[in-house]
Amino acid sequence: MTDNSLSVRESVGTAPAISIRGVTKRYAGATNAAVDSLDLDIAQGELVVFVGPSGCGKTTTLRMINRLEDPTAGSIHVNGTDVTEIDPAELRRSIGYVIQQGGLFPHQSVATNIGCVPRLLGWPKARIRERVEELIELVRLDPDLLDRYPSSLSGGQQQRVGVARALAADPPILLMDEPYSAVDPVVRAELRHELRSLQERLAKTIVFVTHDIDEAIDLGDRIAVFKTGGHLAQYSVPTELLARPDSQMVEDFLGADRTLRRLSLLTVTTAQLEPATATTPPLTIEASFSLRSTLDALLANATDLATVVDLDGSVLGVITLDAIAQIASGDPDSEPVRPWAAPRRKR
Amino acid sequence: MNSLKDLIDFLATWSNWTGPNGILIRTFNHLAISVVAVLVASVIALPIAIVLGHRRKGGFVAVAAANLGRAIPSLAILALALPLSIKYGFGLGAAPTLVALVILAIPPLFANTYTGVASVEPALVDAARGQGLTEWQALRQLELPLSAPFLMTGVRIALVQVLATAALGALVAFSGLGSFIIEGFAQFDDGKTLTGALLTAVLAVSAESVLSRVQRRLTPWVDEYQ
Amino acid sequence: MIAAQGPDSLIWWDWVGRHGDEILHKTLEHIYLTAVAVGIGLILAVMLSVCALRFNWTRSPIVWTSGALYGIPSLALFGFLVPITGASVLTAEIALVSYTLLVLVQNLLAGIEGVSPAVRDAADGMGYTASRRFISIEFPLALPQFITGLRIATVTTVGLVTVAALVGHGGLGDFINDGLKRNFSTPIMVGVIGSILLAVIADAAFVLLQWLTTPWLRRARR
Repeated sequence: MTDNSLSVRESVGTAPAISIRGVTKRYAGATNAAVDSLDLDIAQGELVVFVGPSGCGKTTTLRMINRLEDPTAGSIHVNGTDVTEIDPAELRRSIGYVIQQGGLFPHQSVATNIGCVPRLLGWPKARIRERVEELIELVRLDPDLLDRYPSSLSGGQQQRVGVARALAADPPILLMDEPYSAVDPVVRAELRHELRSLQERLAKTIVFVTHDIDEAIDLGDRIAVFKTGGHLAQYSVPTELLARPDSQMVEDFLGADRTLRRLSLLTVTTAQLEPATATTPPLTIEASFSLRSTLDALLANATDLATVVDLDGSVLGVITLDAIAQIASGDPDSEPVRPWAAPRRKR
Repeated sequence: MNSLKDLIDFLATWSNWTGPNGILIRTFNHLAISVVAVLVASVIALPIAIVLGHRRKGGFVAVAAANLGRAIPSLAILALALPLSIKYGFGLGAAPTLVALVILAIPPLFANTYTGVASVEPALVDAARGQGLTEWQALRQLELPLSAPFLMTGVRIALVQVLATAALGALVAFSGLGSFIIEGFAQFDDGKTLTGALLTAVLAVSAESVLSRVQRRLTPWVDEYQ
Repeated sequence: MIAAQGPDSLIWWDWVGRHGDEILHKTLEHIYLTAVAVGIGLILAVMLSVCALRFNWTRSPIVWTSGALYGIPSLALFGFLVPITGASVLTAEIALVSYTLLVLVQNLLAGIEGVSPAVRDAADGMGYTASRRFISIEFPLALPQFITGLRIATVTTVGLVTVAALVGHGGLGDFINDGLKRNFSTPIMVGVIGSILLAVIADAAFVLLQWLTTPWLRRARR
C-alpha cells in the first residue's frame, strides 16, 4: 500500500467521503454530455443510491469515482484527496467494486476470486486465506463453496461472492453498479436485506446504482434521482423524496402509489397515538409495524382504531385512521425513519 | 532478381502460352477439373446434407466430416486415388485427380450445408407447417433460402481448396498449373516454377475474393461472412 | 524378390518390415518439422496478436497478411520460395509457419476479445494494471480458444509437411512422393496412413491438453 491509499483509508472525519464538484463528462463524438455539471456530496457511512432512467449518467458518475472514467471537467475528492492525484490502479484497490453477477473471473475458484485485491496488494498467502474464510462467513456462504468455480454457483451466491471480493481489503468505500439486475426478485430482496445488515455492522460508505426505484427506496439512506442528460433531479432521504418530489419528473418516476410507499417506510409510532382508554380496541398492532401494514390491518378488520403494543405487550396507545391520514397528507413534522429500522415489508 | 527476370522471360515467350502444354490450355484444364469436381461433390453431398439438416439428424456426421476434411492431408487423398485409379484401369492424370478433388470437396460442402439447414430456427419451421406448408414447401421456401449463406460458404471453401489442390495433380501427371511448378523444380527452371506459382496463387486468391463478393451481393443481410 | 502377397495388393508388408528404420526416422522427421513450424508460428502469432491488441491500427494489416499467406496454395508457395531459398528445410519451414499464422492469430484474438466485458470491467475496477489483467485474466480465459487454434494449426501442418516432400523435406510425405514417382503403392500407403495417424494423435493430444488446462470448463459442463 502506498501513502495515497492510506490517505483514502484513514482520513475519516466529518468531511464527506465522496465529494463531486462541477463534474461534466462528455464522450468523444457525443453531442450531449453524459453527466452535466454535477455537484454531490456523500457522507461517511451513508448508503447512497443513484437511480434514474437509462442514459441519465448514474453509472458514468459511479465509474468516475474510481476513475474507470475520467471527468471532462470538475473534480472528485475521495476522503479529501483529489482522485486524479492517485494512480488509478492504487485508487481502485482501495475502493470496493461490485457489478452485475459480481463480474467474477470464471477461471478462478471462489477463494481465488475473493482474494484478488489482497493478492494485488501483496498480502502473504496465509493472511489472504484467513481473510477469505472470514469473508465467506460474513456474506453467509458455505465455506465448502470456496474451491468451486463461479459457474457452479447460483446467481445469488455469485453476487454474495462479488460482495465478499469487494470487501476483501476492507475498503472504506464500496461502489455497486446495478449488482442485482440479473437475480430474481425474491433473491434480490434477500440480498438487499443482507446488504443493509452488512452496512450496519461495517459502516461502509456505499454508492449503489440501480434503475429500480423500489430498490432505491428500500435500500438508500439517501437517494439521488438522476434525469436524462446527466442532471441531478433530487437528492434527499426516501421519506422526503416520497413526501415532496421536487418536480414532475421525479413524481412520475416515483409512480402513483408514493403515499403508500412512504407509509411503508414509517413505523406506527411515528403517528400521533391517542392515550389508551378503558375500552381498548380489540385489534392490536406491534410498535414495529409500518404505517402501511397498520393501515392494511385496520381496513381488513373494518375498524378505525387499533391498540399499539410494544414487544413486552405493554400498551403504548391507540392508532387511528385519522392519524395515519394526517401523516399520509404530508405532515411536515413526521420524522423520517431509516427504512431498515422498520420491519421488512412483505412484497 | 535473376528469378524475376526468368519469370518475365518465360511469360514473354509466346510459345509458352500456346501448344498442348501451354499456359492457356493448362489454365483451362485446371479451372475445368476444379469446377467439375465441385459440381460432382455438390450432387453427392448437398441432397444428403439438406435432408439430414431438415430432419436435424446426423449432426455428428457434419462434425466428423469437418474434422476428417482437416485431418486427411490433401496430398494423401491424391496419393491414395492413384493406385486405385490404376488398379481399376482409369490410369494416370485427370481421373485420379478428379476423384481426389471430389473427395476433398465433400466435407466443406456437407458440413456447411448441414449446419445451415439445421440452424434454421425450429419455431420458424413449425410456424410454416402451421400455415399449412408441406415439408417440401417449408424446405424450399424457408430453410433453403435461410441457409443460402452457409451453402455458399461451403461452395466457396470447397472451390478454393480444390483449386489449390488441383495443382498437386501434377504429381499424378495431370496437366494443370501445378505442372509448371513440378517441371520447373525438375528442370531447375525458375521462370517456369514462378509462372506456375504465380498463376496458381492468382487463381486461388481471385476465386476467393470473387466468390466472397458474389456471396455478399447475394446475401446482403449477412454482416459477416465466414 | 518382393512377393509376399499378390502384385495387386496395396501394401506389401515385407517391404514395410524391411524399411522399419526408415519409417521410424521419417516419422520423427515429420514430428520435428511440425513441431518447429507450430512452435515458431506460436511465438510469431503471440507477438502479432499482442501488437494487434496494443496498437489497434495494426490489427487489419496483420489479419489481412496472415489471411493472404494462408490463401496461397501450398505448391505455389513452394514454387515462390524454391528460387530464393532452394530445396531446403528453410523453405519447408517458411511455408509451414506461414500457414499456421492465420489460424493462431485469429483464435488468439477471438479468445481475448471474447472475454466478457463484465469480467474486464471487474478487473479494472479492482485495480488490475493492463499487463497484469492480460496475464492473469484475459490470457487464461482465451486459452481454450487458443488451444483450439493450436490444434487446428498442428493438424493442418501435419498434412502440409507431406507436401514439403517436393522440396525434399517431407517426413512421411517422402514415402508418398517416392511411391508416386515409382508408381508403387506400398510406400504411398505407408506415408498416407502414417501422416493420418500422426494427425489424429496430435488432435487427441490437444483435446487432452485443453481438458487439463481449463478445469473451470470441465466442472461447468458436468
